[in-house]
Amino acid sequence: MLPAYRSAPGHPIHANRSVYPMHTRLTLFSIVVIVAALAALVPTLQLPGSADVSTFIGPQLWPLILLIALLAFSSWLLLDSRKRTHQTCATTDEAPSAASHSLSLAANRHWLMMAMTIAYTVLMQMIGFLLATVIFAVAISWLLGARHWGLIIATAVIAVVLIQGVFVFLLGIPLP
Amino acid sequence: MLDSFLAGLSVVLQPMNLLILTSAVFIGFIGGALPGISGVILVVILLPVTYGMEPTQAFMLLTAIYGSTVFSGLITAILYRAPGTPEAVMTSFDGYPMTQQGEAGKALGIGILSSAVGGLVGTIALIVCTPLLASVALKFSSPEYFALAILGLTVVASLGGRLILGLIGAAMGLFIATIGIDPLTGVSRYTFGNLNLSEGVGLIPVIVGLFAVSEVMKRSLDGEVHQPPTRVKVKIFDMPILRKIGVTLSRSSLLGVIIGILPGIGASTAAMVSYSETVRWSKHPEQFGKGAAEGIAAPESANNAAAMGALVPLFALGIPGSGTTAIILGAFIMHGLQPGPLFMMTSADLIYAVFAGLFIVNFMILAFSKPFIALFTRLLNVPYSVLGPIIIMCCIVGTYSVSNSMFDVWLMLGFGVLGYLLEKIDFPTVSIILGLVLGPIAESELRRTLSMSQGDLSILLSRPISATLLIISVVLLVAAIAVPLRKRARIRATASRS
Amino acid sequence: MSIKSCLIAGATGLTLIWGSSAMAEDTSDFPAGPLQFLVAAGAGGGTDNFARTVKPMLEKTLDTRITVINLPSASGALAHQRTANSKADGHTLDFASSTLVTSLAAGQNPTGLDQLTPVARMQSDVMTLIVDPDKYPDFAAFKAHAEANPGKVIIGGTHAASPDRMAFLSFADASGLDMTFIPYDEEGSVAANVMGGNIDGMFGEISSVLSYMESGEMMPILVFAEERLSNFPDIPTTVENGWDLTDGNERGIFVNAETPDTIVDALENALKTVYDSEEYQQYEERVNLHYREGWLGSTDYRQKLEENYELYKRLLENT
Repeated sequence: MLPAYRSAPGHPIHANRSVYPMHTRLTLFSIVVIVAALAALVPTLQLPGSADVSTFIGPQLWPLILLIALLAFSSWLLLDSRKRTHQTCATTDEAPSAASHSLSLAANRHWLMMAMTIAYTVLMQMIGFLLATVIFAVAISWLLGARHWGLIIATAVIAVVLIQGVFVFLLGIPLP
Repeated sequence: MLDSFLAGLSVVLQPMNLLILTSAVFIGFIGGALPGISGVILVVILLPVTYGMEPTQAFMLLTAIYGSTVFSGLITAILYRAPGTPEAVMTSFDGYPMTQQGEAGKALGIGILSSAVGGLVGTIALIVCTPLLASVALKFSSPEYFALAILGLTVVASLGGRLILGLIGAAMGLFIATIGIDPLTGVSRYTFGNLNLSEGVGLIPVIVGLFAVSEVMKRSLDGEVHQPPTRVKVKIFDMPILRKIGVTLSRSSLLGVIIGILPGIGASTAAMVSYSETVRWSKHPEQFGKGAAEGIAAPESANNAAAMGALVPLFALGIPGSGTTAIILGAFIMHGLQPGPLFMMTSADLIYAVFAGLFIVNFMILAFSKPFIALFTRLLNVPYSVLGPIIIMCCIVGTYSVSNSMFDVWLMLGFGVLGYLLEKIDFPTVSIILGLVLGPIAESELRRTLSMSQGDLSILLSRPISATLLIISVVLLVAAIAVPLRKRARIRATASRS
Repeated sequence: MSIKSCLIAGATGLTLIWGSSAMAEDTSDFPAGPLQFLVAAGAGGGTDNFARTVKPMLEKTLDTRITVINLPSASGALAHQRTANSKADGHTLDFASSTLVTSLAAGQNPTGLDQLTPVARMQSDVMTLIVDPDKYPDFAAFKAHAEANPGKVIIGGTHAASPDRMAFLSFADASGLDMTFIPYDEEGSVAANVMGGNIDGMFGEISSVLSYMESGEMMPILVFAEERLSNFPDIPTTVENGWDLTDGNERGIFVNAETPDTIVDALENALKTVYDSEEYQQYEERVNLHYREGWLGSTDYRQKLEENYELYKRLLENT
């Protein structure tokens, strides 16, 4: 019996390349949500209740209800995922692929990209927008596979021209 | 009225004014397509420029920009899953899968047509029924707004994907919406002393992060996939498609106008609600999210119609119907004009010129969109190593420019990571947006309702409009949950029998 | 290098240093560069209009360039904070309304009068109680209804820590009427609810209600002033009813408290020139802000603000 997972909108079904099957991920997710919701309960309980304020429902009630709902939903999800984990199936629709968790560049490109973007954002505030942009453009192009130097330079130039041109001249928006 | 309109038309058709309209449309096209820049920002930026202009020209410019940005957000939404404006978020839902399946041209064509049709319907409603619509708008008070928000939230059940994830997403979105200063009591919630959070988590950083940034992350992992160069042919007037989406277009445009005229609710909410209604009424709901034509037609016609609708209360009552129109109201006051109940009569020439301008703008969208889009589609063939960085940089600058805030940029990046991780579990991220947009309305209006009725909840059912909306919501929610459950039970029953 | 050139170099250097430090304190050189207006409100609103109207006039008076930046976050608290942290050279000006003090009293705005110096007040709007005339033709009718229905009368306004709410609290406090206040996010929503008959009234500035008066959709029935307004002799005042409530929404300009007095004075004089100009007076008439004298100099404005702050704190504590 196959676990029936409808593909979520916006994503053509493609084999997930990670080793972790869906139910494990969902278990993890539900645990994270539960923990986060419990953490959020702490400041929530410090908010003034309905009796203390002039409106009929105080600022505490709505978020409190939401947190309780979140706890309920994620608990359900947790139990459901654990149930499915224990159901052993002959076939799954996720083939563990050869590319397991390696530390290779290819498997972690997206994290590196995010790290670089974060660095760029910080850099922008330190050495100014233009210079940071040039560095970033070059770095990211290389990361994403551009090997031809002309292409990389082109990216940097286009980026700067485009952003300066459109944002500053055309729209008059101050840059960081 | 017809002669006033014709008089307005003749004003608009003067070369100088046409030039202004055209430039407005272009500026709107560019701004709307860039993630993070939307109608609000453009109008704010151009406000000072308009101070020195004649009122007629100034307001033609501002309203035309408003109308065209609502349209062009769909371009980047469909092509790169980076909605250029919040109004285009729902469009990326079915638009991007179409691009992934190589049907970008079809998607864009539907989007253009829907926007133009919705805009025309909205403009006609604006011209013909402003006083009538305005009195309808006045009947809406807190109970009705709450009921409307609830109706909008019930769509989470029909969004596709696992219901439980949608519920979690909506709850998360609703919770995130509570961050900030509580508008009713002034108490700070979850801000931890950070002034940047006191207005709450902005919609733009969340949208740009969850959709655009996470998609860039995903694409960067995919590496260089060498696709054959795709030529995107944009076809606007495609008869078979037109037949399919005709009903959706009319329904969504009307829905858009009605939602637009309500003060405080704008085009993005209209897009969401009409998308959900279309899914509900469709005979093949499972196709949505994978490239259904109606999935683009519904939000795009609704958002353009709503943008026009938002001008109704502005002109009839002096009350802005959305964020951008609030700024336009400020511009009116700066010029010494006071929109209000008498405005339609005292400044009829100005108003009808603006109406005529908007009418023309919709046609301009039809005419100018193709060449403009050609620019963007050519970019599809550019290798992602060039495109990716440019998209990221546009996202960063665009998000920063909303409130001159680096904090927003950090939020955007954070949501980008979150969005990427959520995709790994097939999470319907749009439910978070739904909660974030409708949350403030739902909570504040419920509390105001109770203040109005001294704590009596039955006011929601004793007022006809709110009662109707709530009953519909309950019915639809129950149906959305019960029907698949019953179907699955039946399948299981037949499976166990065999 | 010879001793002579060393001495010459040294002397030149010292002269330059002495000269530039002298110049730094010479306020006839103010402003030394472009100014920055931080508007504690969103684009398109009353305070924003105020700032943008003053901009070209001040540019001419001080012969400099000015950029305007909107910082509406936290009812303008961000603008106040940035001004308090800016260089104390008078080049960063905070354009704010009474919301500065109301949010200060409510604890939302941490930047107070110890960190900001008021330079001048330029606008003083008149607060009014506005109702649907079909429901309450005049104040007597309203008062009678409120007395007969304690707790049932609903008044609307914008935001929970705003001049509107202060007006409500002070009015309820002084008159003893038992009413409920509902804060809305935008003035438009409040007006819509009054016109739609969903709430009984609202507090608002007279400048914003004029067009509705002409059409009869809404009408002010009570003004917060010492004397009846000459253009509206039929509307009673709070004072003649025995209540000393005359506060309205005010708009003024603030700078970093550490700014030297000479610069503050220079700014005050420049702003007074702008205020007295024909152009500015015409603007006030155009937006209906001329019903009450707007100008208050730095010392007087500070005093008024401090009085207001005490009052608002007391009112808020009582809720």
